[in-house]
This record gives sequence, structure tokens and C-alpha cells, in this order.
Amino acid sequence: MNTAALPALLLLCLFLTGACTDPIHPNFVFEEGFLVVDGRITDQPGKSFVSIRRNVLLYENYRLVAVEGARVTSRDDLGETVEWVSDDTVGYFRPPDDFTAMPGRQYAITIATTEGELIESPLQALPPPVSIRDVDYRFDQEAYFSELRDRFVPALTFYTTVADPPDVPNYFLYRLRKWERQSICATCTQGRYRGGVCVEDPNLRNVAYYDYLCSTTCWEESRVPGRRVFRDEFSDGTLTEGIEAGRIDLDRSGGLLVEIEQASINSSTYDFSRNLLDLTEGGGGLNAPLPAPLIGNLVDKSAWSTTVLGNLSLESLTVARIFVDRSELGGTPLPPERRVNLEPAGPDRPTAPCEGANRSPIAPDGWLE
Amino acid sequence: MQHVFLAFFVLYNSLSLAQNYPLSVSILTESGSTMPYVNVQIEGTEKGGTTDEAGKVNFTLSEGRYAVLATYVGYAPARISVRVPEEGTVTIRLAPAGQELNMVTVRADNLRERLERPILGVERLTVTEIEELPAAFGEVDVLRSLQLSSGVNSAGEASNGLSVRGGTVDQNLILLDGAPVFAPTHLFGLFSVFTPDAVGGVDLYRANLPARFGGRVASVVDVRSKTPTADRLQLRGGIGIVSSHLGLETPLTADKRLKLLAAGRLGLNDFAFKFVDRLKKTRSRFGDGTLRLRYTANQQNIFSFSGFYSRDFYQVDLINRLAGVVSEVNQQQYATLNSTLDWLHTPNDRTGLRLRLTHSDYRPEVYFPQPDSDRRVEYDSRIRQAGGEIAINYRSGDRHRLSGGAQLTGYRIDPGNLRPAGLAGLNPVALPREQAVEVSGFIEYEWTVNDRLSLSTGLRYTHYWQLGPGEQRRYTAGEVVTSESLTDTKTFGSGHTMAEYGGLEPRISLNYALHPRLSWKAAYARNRQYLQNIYNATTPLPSSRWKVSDNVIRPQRADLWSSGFFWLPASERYGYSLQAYYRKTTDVLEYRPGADFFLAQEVETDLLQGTGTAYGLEAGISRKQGRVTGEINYAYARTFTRVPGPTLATSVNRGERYPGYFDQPHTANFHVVYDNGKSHRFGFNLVVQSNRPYSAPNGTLIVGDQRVPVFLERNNARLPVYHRLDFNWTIHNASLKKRRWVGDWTFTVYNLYGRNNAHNIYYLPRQTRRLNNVFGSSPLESYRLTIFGAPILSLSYQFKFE
Repeated sequence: MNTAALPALLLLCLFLTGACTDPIHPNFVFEEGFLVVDGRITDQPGKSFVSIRRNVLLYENYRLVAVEGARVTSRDDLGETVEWVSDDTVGYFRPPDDFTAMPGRQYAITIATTEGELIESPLQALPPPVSIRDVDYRFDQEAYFSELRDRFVPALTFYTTVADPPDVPNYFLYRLRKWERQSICATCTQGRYRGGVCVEDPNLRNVAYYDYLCSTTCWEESRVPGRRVFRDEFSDGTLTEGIEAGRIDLDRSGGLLVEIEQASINSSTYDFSRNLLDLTEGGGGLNAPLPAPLIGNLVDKSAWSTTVLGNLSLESLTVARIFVDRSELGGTPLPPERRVNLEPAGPDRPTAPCEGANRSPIAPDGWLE
Repeated sequence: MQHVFLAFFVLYNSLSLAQNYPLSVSILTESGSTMPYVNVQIEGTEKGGTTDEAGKVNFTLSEGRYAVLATYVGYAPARISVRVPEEGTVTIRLAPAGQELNMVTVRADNLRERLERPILGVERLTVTEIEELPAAFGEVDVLRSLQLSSGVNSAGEASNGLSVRGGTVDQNLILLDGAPVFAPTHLFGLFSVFTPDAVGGVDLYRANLPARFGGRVASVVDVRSKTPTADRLQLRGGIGIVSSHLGLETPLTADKRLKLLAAGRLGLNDFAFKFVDRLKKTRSRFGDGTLRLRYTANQQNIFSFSGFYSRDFYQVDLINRLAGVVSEVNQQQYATLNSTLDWLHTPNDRTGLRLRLTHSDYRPEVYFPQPDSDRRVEYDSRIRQAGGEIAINYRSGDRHRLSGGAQLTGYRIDPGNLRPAGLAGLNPVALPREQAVEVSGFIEYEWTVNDRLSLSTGLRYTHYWQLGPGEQRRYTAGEVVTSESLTDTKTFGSGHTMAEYGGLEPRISLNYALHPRLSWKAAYARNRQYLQNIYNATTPLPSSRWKVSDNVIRPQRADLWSSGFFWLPASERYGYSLQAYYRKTTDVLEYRPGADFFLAQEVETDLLQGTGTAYGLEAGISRKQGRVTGEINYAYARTFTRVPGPTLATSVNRGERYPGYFDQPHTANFHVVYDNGKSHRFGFNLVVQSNRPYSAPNGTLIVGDQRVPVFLERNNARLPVYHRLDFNWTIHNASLKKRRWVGDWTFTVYNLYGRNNAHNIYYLPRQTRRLNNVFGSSPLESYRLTIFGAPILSLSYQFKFE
């Protein structure tokens, strides 16, 4: 929500008997035929990727279909080219495992689709990484108002301190990852967990689901939705404190490990990310910014001239972790989205192992409990 | 037989000529006070007289049409047309001289006047008319009142201005006593800033602007503060739920040559917020005040001074993401300080000379209080506009009125300053000042050619200079203006010309009587606009940036053609009007996708310029007589913009024509007032209109793990139809006794049946699986933002003490 416009809205709400915003069924004016490319080249091995999708309308259903068979090549300012390969996930392409980009060098990417499109990004420099001096957080029981929940939401806001390099424009993009202890390791819908899988049980048609406890201590990793951007236009060369890196709702108590990833980016990626932020968080309010197409630095140079949305960002990464014991905050968490429903106790009620792409029985680095 | 017939004919005519009818003339001030000792002349006859203590004078006249002229020292003469015996009683309101040195005169807004006046597309509202209209929270409101006119819409139910015939908010010049008002509303558009007890009248010019006005391409809203005329202390005021106001008028000297009007309004009721959970951290306060002094030196010289101050403050506690400034809290404040000095010299009753000096100072500020500290980062910007005008008016008989003058306007803009207040980690910023000068000359000629044809012509010449000191950025000719196409920067010294524009602006309007009761009108006007408000939103914030035209940002230019008919049937109870218009505007401003102007140096790289087209048809029925009065207006209005460019990022909607932000094809207004002639007045106001366009996504894409809406085009969908019914009931002086203290109770219901009109529809990524029944399988959530979603009841008490 555009915060500058809120006061009038809030004053008006005072005089209303109902809410100022009503959820309505989303209306679209679908268009098809554009490509969506999301990718990044980083200075860390294993963290560079490109995803390519094409939007189609199938019987008036809008879908983003992964583009297969594309040839993806990166090149640098010395003319060195690297062939990227298809990932296990369809439409994802990654460079070889040992690929890392060098700060100060320039990189570009070329994508040739099987349909004949030739998508190119310009050669752009990878900015140097900037270290995070410190990370901190602040808890507020009424951090922001959620229209969806119709209430103030308790949340932790995370901040960084950065010694900003002088005399050069610096742009930062922040993403958060978090780890939490997980007590439920399996959920079966209208069935029971037996032998490591959910077995359908016709007698459970009136039971929405059963939850099963983890057999061991278990940690789950997840990405925090949303991102934050910062530019040093007004703080060039200073020790800049309190740069907001992200926000996590207080939805449970207990330990929380947060990793703040600070990416040094260029101005075009900053602009793209700010547009993205406007579209994901700034659309409401009385004075919302005009919606903008998410056009980044990619252009189809073939005769097709297909519209390409998305961006290839060049990022030098720095990370920092901070542990929070949420039980010590003195706040009241949000009520749970769903109720835990354990299978009624019995001699054969099993537990589930801590496994899966985002789960581990080993405590992550930085976990303090 | 022939003699008998002749004798009968002579007798009949003699009897007819001998038949006389009474005519009672009442003279009032603009505020409704009676005016004794006013000279009233029935032109073309020997009849004349002076009003009595009650402001009345009676005549006896034979059947026919007459011109009644009222004159009084210090007041502009007023002339109205009367038909006898159909009109047995007429009322003339006199306006103080100095505010009525009109080059093109708009007199009492009765239907006959509208039939006969040559000027097209002008609306006049008196204080009485404004007070009769229902407004939210019971507040008298100038801008809301104007929205009952055809072609005038709010720029959103709570937004900072008006849209006239589909134009943008900054295309309207809003004047208070000749000085521009850059932020005309309190509380982000809920109320207009004009002090209720000090508004004297409002003229809206939306078609043929008189040549003395210029600087905006859509309309001029000319608000005049009330001229102090009271010979003894008068108080008036009111108490409402949002604000309370008080005004006084009094002579300051024993000879009553120096008179004062002072009025103010305060809205400090935000303590009520703490009782509502959602609003408990919100603060919102506002106030405004008007001061007017008038000194009548003698019959030939009148001096007046008016000052106006308005201030708003509000705070919200949500995260502020104004780029690069670290803060959790957002406080906004904006203040206007205007002043006007007038000297009116009337050497004789045919000639008038006015010298006017104006100054406007508008200063929005944003504060960023720092957590765990009493320090705050401050941002401010400022626009100052100073003007001088000399105008001469000459009237020759009843058929010719000639006037002319010259104006000098200076603009000084501080686009933005950031003050860290000693905070480490933030550097001070001061964007370079912009300054410009505009010199204008104008001439107006109003000519009643004969009983059928009258003309109102004008010619304005403006010349504009952007002046140094400053730096001028130059870009490769023929290429899109971007940081990459910047070729060089040239530095200019103080007073040196950095860019200049100018040209003639002809204005012409004619009125031709096709029949004594049917007139045809046509008009053409050209306008230029050198000052723009830039904001990447549908409507501006009070803190939105102002920008003078420069070597890259060309001034907007509009050509407006309009034509219409006015029909006044024999009963003269109803008037029917029909108008059509077409306006083409070059170099209208648009914003590049993702534009950000906050403390930006190279704003031109985020701006685009295109072509705007607006056309429409406006029809209306008015009734101004009797206990039931009102209007029905319908407008068909379209407005489109085209911004071509080589890429998606440098064009809008791929260069295709798209609906403007205020393209609202159908608007119907119904307004009726019933006055029982004693103490009760009831009013209804119904508005039904096509709502504004909005942007619906063309799909979604995935960035990281997030689904994001895709917008390839703007304004490709339309909000649901807007309709609303308002009601007001005023009990005037319930005791019906003539007392010095008179109180009115006004009960208003805004949005009587609680229509949930959409102000906007916006989209967010799907956060949870909540509300599946509404959002279905859509990857996005969608919300309708409503401003007034329920009936708003208010009760206010207004009083006068005379």
C-alpha cells in the first residue's frame, strides 16, 4: 500500500461501517505470446540460473509453460563464452558447477529458443560485493495492517548496517531465508501415513487430513516472500544503519534462524526490483503508482521481436545470519492458518522421518538452541 | 363599419397601453444581506428609485422587457433583464467593485442571462448555492459543488483536485483572489481548503477562458473571498464533526472606510482515531484562515488586501519506502501562504483600472522520525509564484466593453531538499532551483452587435523564459531521452535564458439568437501551460513535484472548439442547454513505467510526452425559479492519450491510443432543492456515471518464488458504474423570529443508500489460501478500494450574528 496516501483512507474508514477494501474475483485481460525470463549471474558457485517460460492461453486458461530445448550461453567482456545446461527442473538452465562471475568483469547472456527467438542481454558489469557490518531486528506487535486478515500483524523486521563504498553508486537487493524447527513431518489427506506413504482410507471421507509428528528433531528451510531494495543516493560513503532487509510475520514461537542475502546489483536491476516491489506491495492505496510492465534488460533480437519480460541480474552476494528466540519477544503470534490434527492415539500411529528438499535433521549453522 | 373597427382598435390599444403591472426589485449583497439606498434605474424609461431599509424598491411598468440597472458606490453595477408582468419580483446581488472588474462579465446566473451571454462554458456559484448542496461531513465545499456542473468530475472520491472534461488535475488553474492554490484540498481531497466563512463566489471557466486567464489547458476555477461590507460586527461560524469554523466582519474605523473580514477553520478531531483499533497510530490535523481588508479611500479609489493560509499535517506508522531514506514512520505536512493586493481606480462609471499584486507560496514537507531518537530526517520542496497585473476596462454604452492589460508572472521552484539533521549515514541533498518568467498581454472585446448577435473576443500573447542559474542537460536529437542519450551539460549564469517558448492564444465566443428564446453559441480557445505537476500515479499527492518547462519538457498546448444551444421557453421556468466540444492537447505529460521523481535530478528521463484528445456532448435542464429548483445534466465525454515510442519502456500501451485516466463516457447529475419559503430546505443530489478506467493485468509471471502481475498496458478495464444519492435538510432560523443571532441546523446524508463505489481495483500476489471462494484458483488476489462505502450521516450547526 502506498503509505503516503493512507491517512485520508484511514480517516475515511473511521466513518465507515464496513471495510474500505473488499476482496473481489480477479479480472484479467489476458495476452499471450510473451516470454518470461528470470535469471541471475552471481559470484557464488551454484547460485546462477536462468528460467525461461512462455505464456499461453489454453481454453482461456492462462498458463506459463516452461521453454524446453533452448540454448543458453553466457559471455564476458573478454569474449569467453560458457554453455549453460538444462536443470532437472524443466525450463531452468544453469552454468557448470564451477562457474563464478568475477566482480568488475562484464557479463551478458544469449538465449536461442527452438522457435527461433534470440534473446540477448547487454554486457553489464558485476558490481563488487559489499560486506554486511551488522544485522539487527525489531519486533512490533502491530507492525502493519493486513487487509486480508483485517487486523494488525505482529512481525519482525530485519535491518543491516553497511559501510557504503564512497564515490560510486551502490544498489542492494535483499532476500531472506529462514529455518525453523518442524514438528509435523507428514500430512495425509483422507488417508493414513503407513509405511512411509499416505494410504487412502475410504473411512476417512469426513476427515480433512491427519498430521504426523517428526521422528527426529527437524529443521525446515524456506524462502521469505518479498524482497527489499536500497540505493545509496543519499548515503554515499557513510556507515549506513537500519537498511530494511525484509520482514517475517510472527506466526509461532520458538527459535528462528534468518539468513539475509545482500546482493550488490546495478541500476537497471534496482529499477526492475523496485517496479516489482510496487507491483507486489504498492498497488493499493489512494495514490498507487501506475502499474508498469516488468521490462528488464532482455530483448528479442530475432525477426519475431517477441516481448520479453523479466530480467537478468548480476549479483555479488554477501550473507549474514541472525538467530531469534521468538519466545523471548513478548509478543502474541498470529493464530495458526490450520489446526494440527494428529491421528488419534493408537499403538500403530507412526511418526514421519525428517526428509525432503528443504528439511534436515541437522541443525543449520547459526542455530543457537 | 370601418370606423367602428378603427374606434375599437384605438380603444383596445389605449387600454392595453394603459395596463400597468408592479415590479418589486430587491438588492442584496453576495452574502445575502439587504442593501438600502441603492440606486435602481429602469433603463430606457424615466423610472428610477432608491431601495428602502429593507433593500427594496417598487415600480409600476407596462408589459414588456426591461433592463434594470443597480448602482452603488464601491460596488460593481449590475444589470438584469426582466419581463413584465411575468416577473413581478426580482433580486439583484451586487458584488463589491474590485472583484468585478470583469472584462467579460458573468452576471447573475439566472436563465435569461445564460440565454443572452456570449461566453460559453462558464459556471458561477454563489455562496448560497454552495451552501445548499449536500457535502460529506456537512462541510461547505467549493470543489464538490462544482462537480454538479457538466464535464466536471472529482479526480477520485478522495483526491487532490478536479478533472474538467477529462483533463488531469494539474491542467486546472485554481485561483483564490487571483493567486494560484497548488494544493486545493485538505485531508488528501476530502475537503477543499477554502475557508467556509470567507468564500464570496466561484467562477468555473471550462470552455472559453477570458483572455486575462492563462497558464492551464483545461479550466480556470476562480474563487473569490468575500468582500467585507458589514457596517457593524457580524459573526458567523459552525460546528461539525470534522472541523469547526468561525468568521467575523466588521468596520475598523469610525467612518467605515476600512473593513475587515477574518475567518478560520480548524480540524483537530483526530483524537477520535484512538478509539478505532486500525487508526490508533494515525494523526491528522488541518486548518485554514482568510483575512481580507478593504479600504474605500473615496469613490474613485478602493484598496484591498487578502491573505490566506492553509496547513495540513498527518502521520501514518507504516513502513515508508521513499527511496533511500531509512525510516519507519511517515509524517507529511503541507502549507500554503497566499496574498493579494488590489487597487481599483474608477475615474468614471465607464472606466476602471485595476492594479493587482499576488504571491503564492506552497511548501510540502515529509518527515522521517528516527526510531529510538528524537531526531528526524526532513524533506521539503517549495513553489513560489509572484504576479503583477494591470488591467483597464472601458465600457461604451451598452454595446461595447473593451479591456486590456499586462501580466508578469515569476516562478521559483525548489524541487527538493533532504536534511539529515545530523544523522550519520545520510547526506544532505539540495536539488537545484528552477526559475522562470512569463510575460503576457491581453485584450478583450465584448460587442453586442445587434439584438441577435453578440461577440466576446480576446487575444492573449504569452512569452515564457526559463532562466538561470542552472544546468541544462542536452540529449541526442531524435532519440528517446535517457541517461544513455545525454550528450552534454551546459551551465547558465543567473538571469540567462535557458529555454523560451511563446505564442498567441486567441479566444473567441459568439452568441446568436436564432429566436428570441433560442440562442446558438460557439467558441474557440487556445491555451498554453508552462508549469506541470509530475507524479507517477493517477492523481498527485500534495508532496508531488512541480516542474517548469525546459529545453526537454515542452509546454502543453490545447485547442478547444465548442458549440451549443440554449433554449428558454416562454414560461422561463426551465432552461435547456446543449454543448459539444473537442479539445486537442499536444505535449501532454505521461510517465515512463516505474518512474520515480523523489529527489531525482534527471526527471526528464522518466517523462514522456504525447497527444491528448477529448470530445463530448453535454446536455442540461435547469430550473431556477420557484420553491423547487434544480438541474439535470448529462455528459457524454471521452478522453484519449497517445504516447508513441520505440520500446515498451519508452511508450505507453505500445504507442496505441488509450483511454485517459479520467475517461468517463457517461455522467448524469440530478440535483433538486425544495425550499418551503420559511425555514425548511431539502436537497437531493443523484450522480450516475461511468467510472474511471483502471489497469487490469495481462497475465502473471514468476520472479523468484513470487507470482507477479504483468501489466503491458494501462487503462484497459473500467471500474464498475459509480452512482450515489445524497440528501440534506436545513432548518433555517427555526423560531422564524428576526434576531441578531440566527442558527441553522443542517443534516446531511452522503451516499444515502450506501453504494460501494470502487475508487480503485488492485492486485497482490496470493499470500495464503484464504478466501478461495473469492479468488478461486487465481494466482493473484484482487481488492476493490472503496472510499465512502456506507451512508455518512452528519449534523452541523451554522450560525450568523449580525
